[in-house]
Amino acid sequence: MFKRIYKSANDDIKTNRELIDKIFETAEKAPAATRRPQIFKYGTAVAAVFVFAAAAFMYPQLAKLNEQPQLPVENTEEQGKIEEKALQEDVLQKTEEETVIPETKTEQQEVTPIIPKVEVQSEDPTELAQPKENEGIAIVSESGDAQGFSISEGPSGRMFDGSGAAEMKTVALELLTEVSEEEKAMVEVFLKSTFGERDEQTENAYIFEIVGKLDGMFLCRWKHWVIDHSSLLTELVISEDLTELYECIYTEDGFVQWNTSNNMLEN
Amino acid sequence: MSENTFERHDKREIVEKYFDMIYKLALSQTKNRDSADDAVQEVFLRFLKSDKKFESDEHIKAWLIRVAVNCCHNVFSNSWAQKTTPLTEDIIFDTEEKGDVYYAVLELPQKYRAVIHLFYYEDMSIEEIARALGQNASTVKSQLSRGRKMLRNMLEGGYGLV
Repeated sequence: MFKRIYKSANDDIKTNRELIDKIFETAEKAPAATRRPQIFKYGTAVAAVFVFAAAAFMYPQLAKLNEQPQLPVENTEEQGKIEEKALQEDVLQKTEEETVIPETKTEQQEVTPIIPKVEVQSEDPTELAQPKENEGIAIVSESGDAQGFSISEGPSGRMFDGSGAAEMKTVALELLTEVSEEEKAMVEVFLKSTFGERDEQTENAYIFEIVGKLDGMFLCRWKHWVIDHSSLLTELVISEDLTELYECIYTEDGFVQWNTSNNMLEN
Repeated sequence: MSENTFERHDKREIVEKYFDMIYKLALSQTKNRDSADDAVQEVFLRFLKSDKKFESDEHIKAWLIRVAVNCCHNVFSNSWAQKTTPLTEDIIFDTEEKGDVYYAVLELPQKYRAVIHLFYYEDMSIEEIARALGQNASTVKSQLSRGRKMLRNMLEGGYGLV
C-alpha cells in the first residue's frame, strides 16, 4: 500500500520540462570537455617502462663505479708511502697559500648586495606566479572599504585549487548535519557584512545558502542572482565562532575539502 | 556502442528519457523546487559535457542517479525566502494519504530518502541501488530497513510498510 501511494504521489508531481531546452542552450555555450588522445596514455606508459628498464640496467654499472678497488696485501706498504707523500705535498701547498698576501685586498670595495624586495604572501609557488592586480572580484564591505582580498569568480577560476597546500582539511559530506533557522540567519548576516549584499560591478544580488554544519563548520553556497536564476560563485566553510572563513571544494567521492592556511578573514 | 554513439540527438533522447526520474529524485533530496532545478541542470550539463563511454542504458541511469545524489548533497533549503517556496506549499495532492506518505519520506534523513525513493518509486533492486549510489548492498539494505522503521513510526498504521 505504501508503495502504491508513494508512486501515485510522485506521478502527480509535474516536472519542469522547460529546463531541458535551457540545459541544451547552456551546454551549447560552454566548451565541451575533450579527452586527451590515447597516445598520451600509451606514451606515458612506454616512457615509464623505459625509465625503469634504464634504471635496472644502469644500477649495476653505477654500483661498480662506486666500489673501492681492493688492494692486494703486498701493495699496502707502497700505497701507504704514496699517501704520505700526497699528504706532505698538500700541507706544503696550503702553507704557501697562507703566506701569499692577496694584492687586491686593499682595493676591494665593499659592495652592499642589493636584495630585491619580495613580498612573500604565500608559499604556494602557483599563487606567487599569478598576477596580483585586478584579480577576480574586489570585495567591498557595506562601509565601502576594500577588504583587501579577492576571490576568483566561479568554480573555474578558483584561487583554491588544492595544489601544493600543506594544511588541507577533508571531511566526509555524509557527516553533514542540519542547522537551525537562527544559526542560518546569523551566518547569513555575517556573510553579508563580510562580502556585501551585491556585486559592485555587476550589481547582482548575492545569495548565501547555509547548507548545513560539518565538523563544527557552517557549509555555505555563495551564489549571485543573474536576471532570472541564481548562479554559483563558490562554496565556503565558516567556523562556529565566525573567526575562520575558507573557500572549499566538493570532491567527487563525497568529501568537502579546504585549506586551513587560507583563512580569508586574516588575508 | 560505437565511438560516436552519443551524437546530439542521442543525448537529447537520453535527457528527455531520464529527465523526470532525475527531477523527482532531486526533488525528494532537496525538498525544494528551485534547488531541484539547479541540481537537475547540473546533472545533465555534466552528462552533456562528459565524453564518458557508457556500456548500456542501465549504466547511464546509474551514472545519472549517482551524479544527481552528489549534486543534491550540495543543496538544501536556502534561507532566501523571496526566491524559493517550501515544497509543502508547492505540491498539493488530491488525497490526504498521498500527502502524508510523500511528506513523511521528505522527513527522513537524506541518505535514507534516496534509497526509499529509488526502491519504492523507481522499482530498483537493492543491488541496482547499491551500484548506482556506489555503496555496498548491505549498507543499502540497512538504510532501507531504518528508513522503513522511521516511516512506520511517522505514519499511523504504517500504510502497509513491512
